[in-house]
Amino acid sequence: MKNQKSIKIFIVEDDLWYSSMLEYYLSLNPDYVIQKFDSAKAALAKMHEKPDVVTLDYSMPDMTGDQILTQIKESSPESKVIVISGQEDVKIALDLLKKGAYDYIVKDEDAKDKLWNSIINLRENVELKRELETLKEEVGRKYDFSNAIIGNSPVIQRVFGMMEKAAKTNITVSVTGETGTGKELVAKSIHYNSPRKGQSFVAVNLAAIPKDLLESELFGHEKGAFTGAMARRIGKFEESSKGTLFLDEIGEMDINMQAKLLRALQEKEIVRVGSNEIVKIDVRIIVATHRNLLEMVKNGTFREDLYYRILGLPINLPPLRERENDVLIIASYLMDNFCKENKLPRKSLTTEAKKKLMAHAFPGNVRELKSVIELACVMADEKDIDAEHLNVSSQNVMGDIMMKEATLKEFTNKFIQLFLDKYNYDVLKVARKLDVGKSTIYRMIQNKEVFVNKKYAYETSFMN
Amino acid sequence: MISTRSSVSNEKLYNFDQLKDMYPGNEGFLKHFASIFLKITPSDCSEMMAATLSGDWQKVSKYAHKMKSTIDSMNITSIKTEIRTVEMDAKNKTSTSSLLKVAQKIEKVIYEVSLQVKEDYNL
Repeated sequence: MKNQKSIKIFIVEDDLWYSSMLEYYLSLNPDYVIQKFDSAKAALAKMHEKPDVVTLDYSMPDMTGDQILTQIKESSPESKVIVISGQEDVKIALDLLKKGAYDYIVKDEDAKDKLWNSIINLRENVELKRELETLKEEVGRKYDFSNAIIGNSPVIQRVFGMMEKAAKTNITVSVTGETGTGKELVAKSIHYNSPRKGQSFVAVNLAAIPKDLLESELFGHEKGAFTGAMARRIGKFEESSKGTLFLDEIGEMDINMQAKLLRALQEKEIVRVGSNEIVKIDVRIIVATHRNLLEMVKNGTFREDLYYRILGLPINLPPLRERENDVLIIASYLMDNFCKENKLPRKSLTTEAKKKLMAHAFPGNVRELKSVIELACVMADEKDIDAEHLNVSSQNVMGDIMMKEATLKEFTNKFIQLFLDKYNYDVLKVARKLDVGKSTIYRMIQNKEVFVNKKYAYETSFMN
Repeated sequence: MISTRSSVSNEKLYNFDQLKDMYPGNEGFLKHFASIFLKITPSDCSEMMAATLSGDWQKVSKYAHKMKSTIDSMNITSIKTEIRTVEMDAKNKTSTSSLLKVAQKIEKVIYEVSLQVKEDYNL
């Protein structure tokens, strides 16, 4: 069984003595999984198993070393072939190395030690490569559409549809949405589901880079291009070559820099600061902003030509408050993830907690929800997360309530809830403050239109 | 052809030092290789001799090449040079007239080594 650490080795050798010796010797390392073949044909028939290493006797009876090497490289190009030859022939060795052999070892007294060292050297490469592949797969899985953006609401389903269209082509994508809606996540998902997924995804937050440094950051610079430019440095455009460049907060870009970006996008070429050399670029661009770029165009703070150049396929991410029950689906997902990562028992939301989440407008969107849920997971000692564990900011509760479209009845419920929260669920006090009958509030509690915390529920007879 | 056990040399003609380095103190391991030697090398040697007698130099070179790594691994020092001479001369078809004599020496040593191996490992 091949595990993450194991190295699969094929010994292709017709000399039973020598192959047995190699087998015994290499099996001293328990991580080596070894198979012996006494003919080239038998070994080639098993190449679909993709061995990490093939030790190949140059003089096999059924095929020449050249022929075997060529066929191994065709059927399993990643396998490293170490040729073991009875003759020290520099010309043959060079020829085989040119054809892709990893090493050439002469069958002498030191051959097995040379082989051992050769495998140790290439093992590091194999492990690094395997680690890289695993990481790439993990990243790919993480940014799979169904994992990256959670939700069933019609508005988010429409977003999924747009993302799928974007992933199939190289079209520029502009992602808009309030802060915390997951614009970068959308950009990454598009990249990791596109044909460019094997290449780099490079994200640049344009708001975080001083405008004087932005040109060098994006296009790179030559040594001595400006004070402090101690060496040549490639910019984000070149770094993301054949991959995706995500320009976040594009609305914050200086108007002069906008002209340079437009030129780079139009001509598909850049010039490093301090250089005259034109560098061709093949980069997929995704931009994002929380600003209204069209408004900025009208105000003259954003170039119209750049606006149309980057508009491409627009994806507008809806705020959480417009995503109906998605808040609960996302909360559940975040809870599971957090508990798993922190080895906490799985938790669930009580009805009261769900209502509290649904009532909140989440101006910070998913980012805010994540922070609320993670804190609640830590604060709740029991399996259940109750309303009291949800530290929903009430600083702008009125604003939150007004942000959401709702019916008069829903607004009424929210106001009553707001006052109940504020006055520690003292129904009489709330009734006095709002000038409504206390029985009205009790009825709303019974109808589960508003909720009170458990402590209160325990003390009152009408709950349950 | 040599066919008796009476010519066993008193001198030890081989050793398993290389193998002992790999698995110190593992007699089973050494016995396994002793068996492989007995199974393959005397027979390869006979093939080489027959090919030498019939002048099939390609075959001679092939068997000499095959035996070479075993001879090296078992430190059969008395024929290390000879096996290379046979391999190369047969391959290049040079000095073939003297190859029979060298091949006979190899055959004699291999025969004696096989007797020693049988005795040492009760095979």
